[in-house]
Amino acid sequence: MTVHSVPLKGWVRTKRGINALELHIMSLRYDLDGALEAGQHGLAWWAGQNVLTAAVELSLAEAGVELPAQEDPVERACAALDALRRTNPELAGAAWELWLRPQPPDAEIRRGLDETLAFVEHRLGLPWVVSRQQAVLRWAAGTSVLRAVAKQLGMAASEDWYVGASDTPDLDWYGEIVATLEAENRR
Amino acid sequence: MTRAQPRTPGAAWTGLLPAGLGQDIVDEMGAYLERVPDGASCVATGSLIEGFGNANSDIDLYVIQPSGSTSVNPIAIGIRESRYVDVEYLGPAGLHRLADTFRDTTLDEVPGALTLRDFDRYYRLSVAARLKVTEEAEAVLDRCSVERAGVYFARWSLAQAAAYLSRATVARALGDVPRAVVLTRQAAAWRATSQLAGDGEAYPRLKWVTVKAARRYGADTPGYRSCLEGCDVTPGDLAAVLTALRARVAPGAAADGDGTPWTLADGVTAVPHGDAAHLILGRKAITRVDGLVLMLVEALAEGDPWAAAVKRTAEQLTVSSRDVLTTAAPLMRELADAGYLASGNDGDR
Repeated sequence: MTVHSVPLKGWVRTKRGINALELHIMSLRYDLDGALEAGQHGLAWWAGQNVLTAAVELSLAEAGVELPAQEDPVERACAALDALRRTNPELAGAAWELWLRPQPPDAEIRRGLDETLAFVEHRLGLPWVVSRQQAVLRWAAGTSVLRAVAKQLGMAASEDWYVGASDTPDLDWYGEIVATLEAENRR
Repeated sequence: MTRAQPRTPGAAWTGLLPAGLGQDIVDEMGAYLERVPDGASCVATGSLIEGFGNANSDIDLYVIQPSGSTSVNPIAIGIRESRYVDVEYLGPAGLHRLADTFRDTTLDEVPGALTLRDFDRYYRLSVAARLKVTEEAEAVLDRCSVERAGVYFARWSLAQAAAYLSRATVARALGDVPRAVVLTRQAAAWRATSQLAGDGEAYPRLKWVTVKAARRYGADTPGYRSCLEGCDVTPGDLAAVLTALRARVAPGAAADGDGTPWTLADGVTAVPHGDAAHLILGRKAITRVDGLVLMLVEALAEGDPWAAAVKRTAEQLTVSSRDVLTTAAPLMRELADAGYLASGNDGDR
């Protein structure tokens, strides 16, 4: 075993970027699930395509690949796929193939989205992306660690950043999220 | 749009909400309103208020702090069973500045003067349900006009479409078909967004373009399909779609570039490396350039003034100089910020 010690501020900066991507993917999962249920297939396809490109970006970030800052969403996604191509051209080619697919007819949209999510799960190695609840938990767990470390550095913002549900006063924010998801599962 | 009257948690604020909004949403808003401190205001906005949200749409709330508030909390999130609550905390001074910008900007200035974030906030404020508002907050909310948001967003979106169309054209000319396809889709989506904004569907989020088109023209009708033409372009029909979009988006709709005549900065040398080149900034920094930037930099390195470099590059790619300028502008600005380019004055612009 070797010890790999890194400067704390740099670690926090990297994790903040990862946490922002996890939050983005979480919001896309809400979009995707809600749109499918409502028959808003254009929105569902848009969300699936954005899950794909955000997942590529996240997998690179977790591997320590730093991408240039890009405000434009298309350029950011292209930069991520370009970076992936340099390390794994076959994987990047498969991601491009999925990204270039046009929206399927309504009857085939779930299958098309399943193929995209299967790629994210198995090829990019992000299994939590396939479920909205798991995406929420992933974001919450990352946020919990990040806030604890940021607090150590005196960087954490105020404690009222989480809007708690009024009927769970005895739980901390993370415990409340877990309880909320468990309640949804029981329904 | 009918202006809502000030409401307090004890009043019938639920009457300000769209009909048919789920009881869980109303209850959540009510619970949050009880937490809003005296002196602060709270409005509900977003896709649910717009009327096309779904069972998993987030509940968007703005809390407008009173002047002089020292709170620095920018956002708050709350996870619920099928939704999440997204609260943004705003100050009246910043919102007045936003309203000033919309008031003082002419239609022609819109593409360069306003950002998507500006539109998002301004529009959401203009349609917000005023659940609990102070006189101070109401004064700034009254300055946000949904009509102005729509007219300006139509113009801004068209500029986005024109810019993406230029970038798609250049990508195709460079042989990068996949990138050209995704850029063309983006151009088509922004063109559709512009049309929809002009037709009264101005909610400023690209992801809702198909939902807005369905509400405005009817799902899968000729009007719907015409509006969204090009959004699903594939490599096989790229050329035809680009031509069709060109006919619907005036090239001059894009924001004017900054007009800077770039030159290589003092001490910068270019070292060719295969189909790219390395730019070396003295003994300080190095960067790799390829594609369009490589062509422009090579022309500059050979002594072309900026305008000639643009013209030569456009001719080599068989695209317009405007397409080259529009595509290159942000990239050249990045190189300049990093010290590789300087603002020249070649006199032949």
